[in-house]
Amino acid sequence: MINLRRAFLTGNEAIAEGALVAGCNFYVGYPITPSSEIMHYMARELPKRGGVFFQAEDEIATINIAIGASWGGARVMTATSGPGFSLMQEGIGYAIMTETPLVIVNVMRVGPATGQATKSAQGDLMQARWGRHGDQVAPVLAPESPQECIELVIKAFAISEELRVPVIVLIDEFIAHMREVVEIPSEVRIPIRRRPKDPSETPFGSPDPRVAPPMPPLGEGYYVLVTGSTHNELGYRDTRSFETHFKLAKRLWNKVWLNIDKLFEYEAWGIEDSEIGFVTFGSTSRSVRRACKLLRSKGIKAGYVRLKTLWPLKLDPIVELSEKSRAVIVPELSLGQLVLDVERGIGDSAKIISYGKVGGGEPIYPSELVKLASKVLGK
Amino acid sequence: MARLELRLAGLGGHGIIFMGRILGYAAIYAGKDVAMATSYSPAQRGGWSKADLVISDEPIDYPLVSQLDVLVATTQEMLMSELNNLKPNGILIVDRDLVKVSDEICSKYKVYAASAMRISEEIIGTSRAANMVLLGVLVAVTSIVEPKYVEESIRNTVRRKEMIEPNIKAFNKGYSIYKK
Repeated sequence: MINLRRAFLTGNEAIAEGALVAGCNFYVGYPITPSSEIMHYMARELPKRGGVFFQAEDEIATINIAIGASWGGARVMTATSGPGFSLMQEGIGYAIMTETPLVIVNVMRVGPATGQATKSAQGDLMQARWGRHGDQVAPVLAPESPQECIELVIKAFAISEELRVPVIVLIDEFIAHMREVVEIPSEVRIPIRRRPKDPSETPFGSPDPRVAPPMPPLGEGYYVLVTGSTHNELGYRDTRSFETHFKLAKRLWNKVWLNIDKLFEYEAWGIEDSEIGFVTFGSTSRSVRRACKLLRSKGIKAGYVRLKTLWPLKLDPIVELSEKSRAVIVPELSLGQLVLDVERGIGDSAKIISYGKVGGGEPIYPSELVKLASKVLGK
Repeated sequence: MARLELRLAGLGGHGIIFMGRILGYAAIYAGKDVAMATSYSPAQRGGWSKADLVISDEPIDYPLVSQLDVLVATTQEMLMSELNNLKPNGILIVDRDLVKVSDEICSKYKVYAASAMRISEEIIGTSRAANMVLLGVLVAVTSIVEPKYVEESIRNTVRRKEMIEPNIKAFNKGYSIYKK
């Protein structure tokens, strides 16, 4: 039986607690609103537990230090917000190419540029998926509460260690600074990073496309080449041949996409008979849940699909939601990014309404959604 | 109690967010679900500060407040800016020496006032526990949790040991004003 500890934590504190429970022993970061409390928490708690806390000079250094620490055998996390996340993108691509496990938390605020640093937004959804150049995929998880921050950060560490891939945890300012009751597990099982048993096991090649190759630790005498350039199973650069690149790119792609059943999580509510549907993620889900209950109490059958995994994405639950619904509303704290997935999933089989709103720390109120849904159905 | 929405609003330094945390933990000890959101102005000193709480016997779906059942205001400015969020006949709690409440306001809302700063000064020699006096009033007039849970919360939350008893004393004094 797992021991649970009850606490009253903000999302940021919960992210840090989740990381500590998952055995994170190296934190590197550069402070930025509204993610800084994660850094404060780790600075205070990590050294006490024998871990390393390091403040870098900027986010470019941060992501590269994180990659180095991971190759040194550490379980690594960093956290940032929009502008810092932009600076990290090249490094995240490098981590994907070099198959480096690490967890990157992005606490979304209003952008672009400096935007409104203290205000909540959900406009980094596409950046989290596609911010790097080239063909690449990194899992993106999106908690909706401090409790889920703990659970999904633990999951992020498990995925990153098992698949040798950077995992992005996407929250927004509301969740980051909102305090709720959480239950913290005393211990969790994170897969131990597999090391090569003998030279026949190559560090960048795997016979099974779903399984990550073993990762040799640096600094223990194992001779290994690590490069962001296209490389073969042994790590030797090959910047000319089609075969080497295509094989590597496909393997990195499949390593994540073929594990979609393990990675993809969602919550569905009331979709068996919904006449109006919502698709949502992150803090906006809380408004949607309330709105659906209010609508049901008024006799309007409302249901929702909430994505806990934003990437890789299965469209099936969204399609299922649309089968019964006359219309699907996609509320988000952006001008409309998640709605593109909904359009891709259901085409014109149901009316799709994008409800984007962002700036000034304004949430999407449940009452707005109730009004909108009633209007769409003409009730 | 299905769902109670509260906003504590005042000046940075009044212990607004601390009051929210004490109440939040007390509600947790009483077996309730709690969500709290805090905000403050960018000013380093003298800016406003707010703590919003939702307390419920049921799991909380939507964690933000929309129509307040309870407003605590420790400055005139916050009273005026937040009053329109308080629902008709809602509970308004103020420090009577810092905030003037008009007859019109008294006719629209249930107003409870206490000289919190002065009471704190009198019983513990500093006005710093005025927030606990107001929390005492809040707990007395809403019956949201039993006072023993607030005491437990103060014991577990106040870091400086010598400040635990004074805070409990201030809370009990505030509680006794409206509940004998």
